[in-house]
Amino acid sequence: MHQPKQDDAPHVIARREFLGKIAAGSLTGAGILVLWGSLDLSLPPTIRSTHPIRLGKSSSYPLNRFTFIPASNLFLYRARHTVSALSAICPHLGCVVRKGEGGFRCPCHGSRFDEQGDLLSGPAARSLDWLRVRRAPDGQLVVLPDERVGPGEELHI
Amino acid sequence: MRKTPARGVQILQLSIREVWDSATRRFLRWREPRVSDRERSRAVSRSFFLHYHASRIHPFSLRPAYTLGLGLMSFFLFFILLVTGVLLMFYYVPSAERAYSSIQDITYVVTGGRFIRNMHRWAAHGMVVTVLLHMARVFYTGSYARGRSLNWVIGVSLLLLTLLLSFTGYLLPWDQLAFWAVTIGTNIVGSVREFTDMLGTTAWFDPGGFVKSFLLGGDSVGQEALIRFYLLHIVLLPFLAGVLMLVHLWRIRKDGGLSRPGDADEVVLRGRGGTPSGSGPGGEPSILAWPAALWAEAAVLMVTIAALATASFLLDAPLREIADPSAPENPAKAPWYFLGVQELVSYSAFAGGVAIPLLFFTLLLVIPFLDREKDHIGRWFSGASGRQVAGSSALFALLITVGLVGVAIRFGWLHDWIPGLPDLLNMLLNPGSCVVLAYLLFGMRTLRSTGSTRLAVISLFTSSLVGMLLFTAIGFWFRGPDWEFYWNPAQMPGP
Repeated sequence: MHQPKQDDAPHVIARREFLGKIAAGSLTGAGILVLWGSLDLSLPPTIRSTHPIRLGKSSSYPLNRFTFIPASNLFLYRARHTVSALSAICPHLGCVVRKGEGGFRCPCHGSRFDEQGDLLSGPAARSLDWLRVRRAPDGQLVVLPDERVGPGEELHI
Repeated sequence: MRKTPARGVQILQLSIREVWDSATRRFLRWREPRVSDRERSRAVSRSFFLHYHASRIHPFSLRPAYTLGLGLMSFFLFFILLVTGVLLMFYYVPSAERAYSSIQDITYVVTGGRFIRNMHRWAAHGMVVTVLLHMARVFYTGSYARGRSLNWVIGVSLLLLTLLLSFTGYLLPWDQLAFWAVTIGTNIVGSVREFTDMLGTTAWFDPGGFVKSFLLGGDSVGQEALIRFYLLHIVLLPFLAGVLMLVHLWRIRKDGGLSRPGDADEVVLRGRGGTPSGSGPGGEPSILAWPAALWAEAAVLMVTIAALATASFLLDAPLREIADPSAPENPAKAPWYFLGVQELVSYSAFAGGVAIPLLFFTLLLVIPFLDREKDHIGRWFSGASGRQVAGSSALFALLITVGLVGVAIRFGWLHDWIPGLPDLLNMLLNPGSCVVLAYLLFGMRTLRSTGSTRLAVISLFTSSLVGMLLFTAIGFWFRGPDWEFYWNPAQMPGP
């Protein structure tokens, strides 16, 4: 190690050392800023597509049956006085479940759900999501894909 | 009388000759040097491409049965991937509307396009295989010891980059296979949330959500995801992989050439390696890199190209129907080298897709630091005791994996037996993680009974490798529609 001259005060650092530290510090700082800035840039400012889904008149759907809406990956269920919407996206890893006998099945990893969307077996950690259904002023059904509701909360018609 | 050219022309001729000479001499050096050893050594030390070799190497390095040429094959495959990839970029359009039809154009319209695409696809698959086998070779010959630990770590990073390159390339055709493999893959990354949710830290620490939106640029696979995967696939990852590969090669030379056993000199002198033509700095036998090493490398290159060209001629790269975001194929299977992970995530998304792979890569990275024994370098399995440990670990892994997975398939698992079990236990104690736990315990037992860290890591590495193979095989052959288990693939119902 380089020692300062004996008559120097013990905490005085040499000019070179000082400049070296400044240089190293500003390089590190600049590096962190560049990294942080590029990561921040790469994250999209808007992530969710929260457009409500318009699905037409309830009368156009068959009674007492799940109807699959391919464009928005959900099932619409119309009963005599109510309409409800069940998300078809498997809460495991995002595949689209299919309606089979007695419930729903995910083709990717074999999760099974009953007619209520409740988890029966498989790797999914929770049940399928029920989504909020509203009625637009013109009478059309509107599903809000980001608003989860409990299984009993249906739209009365 | 012959007319002398004008002075300007003379200068031009001279400069052209000088540039040409310096290019061939110092840069390419493609002309066979004069026959003296001195000339040959100079050829290597003065050429840009050949300076990755020392001008003299140990003849043991040329034994095919020791290296199997796997590292070189991986390197050549990477090079072929760069060339074919650039060719594909002439026509490929990274847009959700046009990607699929541009691949169709490449396959059915462009002259030679199908062959180039096949080559690119099979070279990518081949590289995954050769990189894995290369790692196994380096591990079983103990070549991570004696100052080679840095190169081992670089190698593990290269394995990771190879897998990432394959995965990002997978989305680009925008067919059903691509779309659903990437939907599943990015949701696996997102499943870190399952874990942070349980810890209650998602609000301020959300690595799963961060990486997922970094990759997708949104909340599902769409145009933004495609352009990001394209960028990663053609610029960022190849650049990183290329740089690391060069460092990897350079380190071989800095580490004193390829690893070799302590008795390599005697082996060679008994005439079982190449024939030494002189002696190196330590008085050890050595051989000129030009031409011996170059011939060997050229041979590996030719074998690689021949095999790849044959495969690309005979087998077409798959292209399914165009991606349909509302109807996954049934079963929706990942590429074969991720089917082991897909089988594991069918037990638990976070444990199988994140925790176990993370543990696997961490263990790989720390192998040289767990095992600090130095006397085993360069011998396959470190001799008879290592072979025995490898054999018994392979058998143990086979039995425990098949046994536990069999129980899970036949009788269900914890959450079927104990309905109210907390989610955390369900996640941590799934069949996959129990199997991994068993491998770890077996490795510990080996360490206790033999007292050798080398034998312990041989046990861990072998059982992980066997487990990986088994899970991949289960996912590949025995999983049918709805990811149901079928003994006989012929019994699977048709689509």
